[in-house]
Amino acid sequence: MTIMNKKLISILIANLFIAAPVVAQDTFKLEGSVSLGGVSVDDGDAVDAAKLNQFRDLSDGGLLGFDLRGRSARYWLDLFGENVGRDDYYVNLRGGAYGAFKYRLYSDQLKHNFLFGGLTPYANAGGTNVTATLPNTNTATWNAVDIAYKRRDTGAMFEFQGASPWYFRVDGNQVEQSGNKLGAASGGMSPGNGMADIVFPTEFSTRNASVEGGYAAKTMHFSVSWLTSKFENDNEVVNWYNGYFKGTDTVYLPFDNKYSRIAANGTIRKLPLGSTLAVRFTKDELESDGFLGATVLGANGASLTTLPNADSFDGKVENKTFTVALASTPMRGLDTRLYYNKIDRDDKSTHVTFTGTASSGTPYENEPYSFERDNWGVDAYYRVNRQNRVGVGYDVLDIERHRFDFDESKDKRWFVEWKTSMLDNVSARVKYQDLTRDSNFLLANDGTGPQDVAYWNRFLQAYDAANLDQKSWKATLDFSPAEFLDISIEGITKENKYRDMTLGRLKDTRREVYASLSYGNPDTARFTVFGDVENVKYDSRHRVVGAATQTGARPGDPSHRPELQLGRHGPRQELGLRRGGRLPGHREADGQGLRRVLQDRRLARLRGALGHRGGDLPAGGRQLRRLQAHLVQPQGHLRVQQVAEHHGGLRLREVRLQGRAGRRLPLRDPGQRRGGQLHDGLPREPAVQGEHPVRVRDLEVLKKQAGFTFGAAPSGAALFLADPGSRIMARWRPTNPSRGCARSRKTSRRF
Amino acid sequence: MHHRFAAKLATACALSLAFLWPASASAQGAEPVCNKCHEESNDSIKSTPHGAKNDAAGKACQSCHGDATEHVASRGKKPLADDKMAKAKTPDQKADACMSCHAGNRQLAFWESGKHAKNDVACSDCHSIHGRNRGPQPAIHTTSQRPNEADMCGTCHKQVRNATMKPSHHPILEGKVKCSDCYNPHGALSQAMVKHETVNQQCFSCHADKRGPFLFGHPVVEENCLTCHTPHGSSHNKLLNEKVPNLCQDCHVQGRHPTAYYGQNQAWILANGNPNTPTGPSNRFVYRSCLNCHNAIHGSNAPSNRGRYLIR
Repeated sequence: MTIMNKKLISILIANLFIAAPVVAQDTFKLEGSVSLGGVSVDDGDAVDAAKLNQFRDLSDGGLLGFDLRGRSARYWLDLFGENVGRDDYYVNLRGGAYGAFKYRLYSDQLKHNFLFGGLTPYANAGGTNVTATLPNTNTATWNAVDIAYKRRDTGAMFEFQGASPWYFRVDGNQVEQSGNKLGAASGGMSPGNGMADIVFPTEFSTRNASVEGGYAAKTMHFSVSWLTSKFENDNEVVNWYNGYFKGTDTVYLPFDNKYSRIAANGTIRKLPLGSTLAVRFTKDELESDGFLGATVLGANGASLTTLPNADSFDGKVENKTFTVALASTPMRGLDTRLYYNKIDRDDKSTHVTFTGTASSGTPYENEPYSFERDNWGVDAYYRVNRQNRVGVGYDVLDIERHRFDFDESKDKRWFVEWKTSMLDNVSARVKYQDLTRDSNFLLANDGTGPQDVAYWNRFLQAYDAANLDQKSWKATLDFSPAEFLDISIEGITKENKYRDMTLGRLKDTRREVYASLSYGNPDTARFTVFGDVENVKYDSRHRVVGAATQTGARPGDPSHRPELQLGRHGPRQELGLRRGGRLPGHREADGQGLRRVLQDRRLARLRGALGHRGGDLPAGGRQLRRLQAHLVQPQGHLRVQQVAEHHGGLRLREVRLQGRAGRRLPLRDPGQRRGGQLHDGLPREPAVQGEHPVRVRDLEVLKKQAGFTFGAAPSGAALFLADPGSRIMARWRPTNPSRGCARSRKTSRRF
Repeated sequence: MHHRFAAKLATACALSLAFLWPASASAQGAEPVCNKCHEESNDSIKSTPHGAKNDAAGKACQSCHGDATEHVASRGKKPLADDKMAKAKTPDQKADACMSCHAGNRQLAFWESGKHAKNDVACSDCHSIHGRNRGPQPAIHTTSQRPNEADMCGTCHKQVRNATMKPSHHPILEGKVKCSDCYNPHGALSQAMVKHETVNQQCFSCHADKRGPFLFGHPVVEENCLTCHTPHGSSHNKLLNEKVPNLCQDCHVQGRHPTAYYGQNQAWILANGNPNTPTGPSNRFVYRSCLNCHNAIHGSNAPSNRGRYLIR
């Protein structure tokens, strides 16, 4: 555990002591548990041990956790900690006084593991000067590297409510990310020039602070807030040896940036027609300052000039948003909502043009990107009777972009839904939504003819802004055939058709079914099974430029069609150009999707030999089936899960079994048992005038745990043991400030 | 360093003062009359803020369950006159009961404008006022013992629940990211009730290294992260909507190398297992595909064409 966190915990403990005399005036009962255990994981056979440990610390060692709750008539306190001293620890203290203030102090850390035991020909991987002597195909001489980073978020919050309805709140946190991640860079300026994997350092620090003040009453709420966030990157460039250009090259990482925002919120309730008016305005500014590289590496180690027309880059983006919503109940059973959102993004960053020898005669300039979004809509829900409710809605989104291919688009969306519970123990909901997008494509008439290279542009549209017809259905059925038994089924279909598309994504479809069955008796156990089937499919079209003859499959050969559908990552049905006219050099593709999958798998083995971890799963569409059984009862739980994923020829299966047994002792209330003075059911001590009596502070282990987890594919096992014997009493003896020492009575809950 | 010390000192002072603040005792110091018959229910709230605000007459009990005067007088023979939490009540009626006290909560400022309020979600659908003691928590993917918020949200948002279990996911199951880190389930004016004004602002609140501004940007990235990413879980690396290079090629299908590998002497492994080119498969398929070279896909600070093509 770092020094910083030790200090943090010291502060937490110090405050508990400070609280002692105050709390003592008002009996403060503390209860909770302490867990001690260990973990041992055998991941030797794991397919990918880094994935098994992706966000967790499963290294062998002890486990320490605590969970304390303190309550009195005035004050409350929650202290929770788990995995203390490990890479994925979490410590959280919350507390406050009812109606006066509340606070929080926390520290949360995770470790994101990407790769264990990788190999690289580069020395100092993860540093800022990465060197190598290339070519080097002898992997025995390569260097080992683990790719991972730790991310620790430490923060605090304080909110003062003592002058209610006025309130004041301060938040602050610091996120530190330390480690590395995998990146890459091209060798030359063409794919044929190769590329290199480079481990980039991620020494990031982000400090956030916000202040908010406002008025929060039942009928209205107003607040003003200010937020600032500063991101710092310790390493803004990485120098690495480029084997293709034969020299030291440079990769640029994110510059430091600073973000600030002011926001004003307002809500007024109890307006005519049962209305509530809500308004929000925000204005933010994002800045980054960086240098402009004067040279870049060229072929044979040459240094090429960039000749920017500015001394430095001053990034600056301003966003303004305004939102207003009026929710009303104009008549019994009818709920309506009118809303309007506006977002303006104004990129005021330095416009830079590069004209040096690196540009080879072509000036390169950046394109600061701005846009405006106007969105308005209305929806209404009418409760026909207690069992039936219908809803309709209409929404318009107007976007003006300062983009080279589209300058404007308008989305019109409407929906209708019906929710019913007419049948006993059955609840159902059906919703249909339709969306139409009309965009203005600026390149529709580009190029003077087939011999003009710009002629291609008219056939290329980015699907994120292209004309679109979208239809989606969603149906949900919840059924309770017997007491404590719930069955739920949900189906979703969605289809996007991109109109007027010649090349690129043509459409995508989604079919999903989710089902779950749950039995839960509050007095005994809860049992849940759920599963789903998903089928997602993307269709797109591509052109091919090549010679007239090709080896392998022939264009348009129907015999290759099934392979094509299987392989192209499942979904892409067509690679050839079939409409929109024949373009110069056009050929229909042979589309050997299945072979691509085979290739992917083969390359995965190759990557293993080179020390690279397997990359993406070879699927664009997928079928996912999952079955999970889950039993929970007060004494423990048992979960069995089976997952099967089908990715265009590749199947993944996973079976997991996990269980844990424990016993939580009932919450004891000695005050009631002894017939003492009751105070919300809590024992009350008589306050002594002029004296701070020793407060009640003991920790009692209420939970015994013994359990296990077992997983296969990736394999791993974890054993958790806590409090294996009888009940453990852990006592805490704080020093009494007024008496200088603490007294203990073993059989009592009081000191 | 001085900043850190000052921050810690300020935190320690603020917390110390907070404990010393003369908070008023809100509890009345007596057992509610309801406890005589409903002991279990009373036990479940007595250590909560609701319990702290209760009194001998059961003020907190009656604020949710309605006037109990006749119910008590008849020793329970007469039902509660207007139990606001009765099964027959509609979700908005149940929510109204909660809002009668909690409307002044800053988190609930936009409750009426939020999607939950409009979709028949009552407070009690998520909050168990008389909930059971926290027992052992199932944690198949995690060593955390904290209740997993996604389990609650997943009972309705089934699509999301399943997405969180896919190979690429935020550390939701591991207990390091909660639904409420990104969403305000109590209502928000933003799309999908995200906490920040836009999706990108929400993502940048954690991924500050991606927010730029970069010398050379990628307009789609600057406009909406969700064009390429699906935040709850994906079968593809980096929470991508689709596998690369397919995702990239849905927009970038112009000439030169984006599509050239469909052609002669490029890339393919033939049915007989041999490569379609004597030099082996194209590096445009290997590993991260397009991102092998265009690594700075969120924006680049490199000069000239190195930055323009997002390759440094």
